[in-house]
Amino acid sequence: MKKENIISKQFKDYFEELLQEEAEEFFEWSLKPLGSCIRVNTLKIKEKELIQRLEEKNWKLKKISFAPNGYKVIKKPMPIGKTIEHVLGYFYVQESASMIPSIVLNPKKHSIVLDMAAAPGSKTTSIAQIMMNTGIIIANEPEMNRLRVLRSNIQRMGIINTIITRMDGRSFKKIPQKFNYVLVDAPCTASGTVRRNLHIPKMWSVKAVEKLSKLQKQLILSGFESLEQNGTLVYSTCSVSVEENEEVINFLLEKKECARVEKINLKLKKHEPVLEWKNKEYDKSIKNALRILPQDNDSEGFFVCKIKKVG
Amino acid sequence: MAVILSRKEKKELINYLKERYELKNFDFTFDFLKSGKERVWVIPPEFNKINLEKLKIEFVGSYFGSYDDEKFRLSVEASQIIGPSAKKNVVLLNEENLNKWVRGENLKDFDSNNLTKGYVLIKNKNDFYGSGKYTGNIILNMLAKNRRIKD
Ligand SMILES: C[S@@+](CC[C@H](N)C(=O)[O-])C[C@H]1O[C@@H](n2cnc3c(N)ncnc32)[C@H](O)[C@@H]1O
Repeated sequence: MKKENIISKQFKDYFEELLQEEAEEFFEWSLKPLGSCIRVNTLKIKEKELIQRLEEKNWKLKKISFAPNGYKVIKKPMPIGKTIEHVLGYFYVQESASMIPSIVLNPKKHSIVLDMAAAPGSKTTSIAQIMMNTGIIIANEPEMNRLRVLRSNIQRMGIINTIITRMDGRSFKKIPQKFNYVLVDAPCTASGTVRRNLHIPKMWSVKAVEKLSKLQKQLILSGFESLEQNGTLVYSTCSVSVEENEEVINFLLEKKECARVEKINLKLKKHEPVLEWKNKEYDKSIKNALRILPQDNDSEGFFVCKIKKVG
Repeated sequence: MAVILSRKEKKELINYLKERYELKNFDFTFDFLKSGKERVWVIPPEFNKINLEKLKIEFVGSYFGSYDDEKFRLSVEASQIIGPSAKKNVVLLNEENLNKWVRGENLKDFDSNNLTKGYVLIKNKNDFYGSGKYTGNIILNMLAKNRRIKD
C-alpha cells in the first residue's frame, strides 16, 4: 500500500510538528514490516534448553541486547502459534520494546505488585517471571473479552502468583491495599505500533489523543496513590505523542510532591524526551524517561518512565 | 462463589493423586480453591498478604484441574508440575501420537504398559501435555481447545 494511503493528514501534521527533520524517518520506519520476538518463559524451561531446541528445529534467533530472555526471530519453520513449545507455555510472543516496562519495574521477589491495565498479559507474565512466581500481582483489566485472554496467557505461562481483578484502574486509589510496585501500561492511541497495525494512522486523531491523555492522567494518579511509601511506579505507552506521555508525567509531578522521576539504565538507543510542547514547559527531570521511536532499535515506538514515591 | 478446599478435601485429592500417579518425593506446598462443584485452582502462596476489601476479583492463581466421574482431571500446567515425579499412569507418546494429541484427536495406538483405566498423564520426551482418559483401549483427548494446534 502507498504511504499516502496509510499516513493520514492529521497523523502526518502532528508528527511533522513534533519530530521535524526526523519525521520522514519516523514515517518510513512506521511502514517497515516488523518481525516477531519471543521471551523465554524461565518459569517452565531453561533459556539455553529452549533456544537449543528451537534451533534444532531450524529456528534462527538473535538475542535482544537489552532484554534478558528476549530473542528476535530471524527465521522460523512454521507459524509461531503452531509450535509445540508455544502450546507448552515455554515462550511468549512479545515485541522487544514491550519487554522494557517490566525490566524497568524490576520488582523484588515477594513483592505486592499492581498491573493496572494488564490484558493480554505480556507484562503480567514477565513480571511474574522476574519475581519467580513469588509475591502477589494484582492483574487488572476492565474489559471481559480481554480479561479472558489475560487469564489464558497467565495459565499457559504457569503463573500462580496472580489475582485477576476487573475494575476501572481509576478506582485503585480508593482500595485499602497498597503496593510496592505499580505498572500503568496505559490504554493509548498506539501510534508507536503502526508497523504492526497499518490502520492506526487512519483512526488516529488529536481528539483521541486528548481524550486518552485525560484518562491516562487519572490512571497514573490512581496508581501513584495506591503505592506504598518508597514504592516504584512505571508508566508506559506504545504511543509517541507528547500528550500521552511527557504531559501525563508532568501532570503527576505537579500534583504530587513526593513523586520523583528516576533514571533508567538500559543499553539501547532512544530519543530525548520532550520538555517543551505547545508553549508549555515540562519538569526537567522528565529527561530521565525513555522515548523510543521505531528507528532507534528496529522495534515499536514506546515511552517508559520510572517514578519513585519518596518520603 | 469460590471456597478454599477443606483440609479433608485437600487430603483426599492429594492422596488420590499420589496413589494414581505413584508420586515420589512430591510435596503439595500450595492450597486449593474450588469454584462451582468441579474446578480447582492453586491459590497464590502469599495470598494472605492481600487485603481484599473493594477488590473485584475474577480469578485467583492457576487452574489445577476438575473433579469428574473419573475422580480428577489435571490441567496441562498441573501435569507439568507433578509429571516429573509420577511413576505410573504416564503414557509416553511418539511424535505421531503427539501430533494427534495437540490437535485434539483421541489416541488408539500407544504403549499401554503401566496404565490402568482412568486419567493418565500425557508425555513426550520430558514434556507434559495434560491428562487424557484411558478407557482400556483408547485415550480420550481432553486437551482444552485453546491449547490445541489448529491447522
Ligand atoms: C496497552 S493495553 C495493556 C497491555 C498489557 N499491559 C500487556 O502488556 O499485555 C491497555 C489496556 O488497558 C485497558 N483499559 C482501558 N481502560 C481502562 C481503565 N479505565 N482502567 C484500566 N484499564 C483500562 C484496555 O482494555 C487494555 O487492555
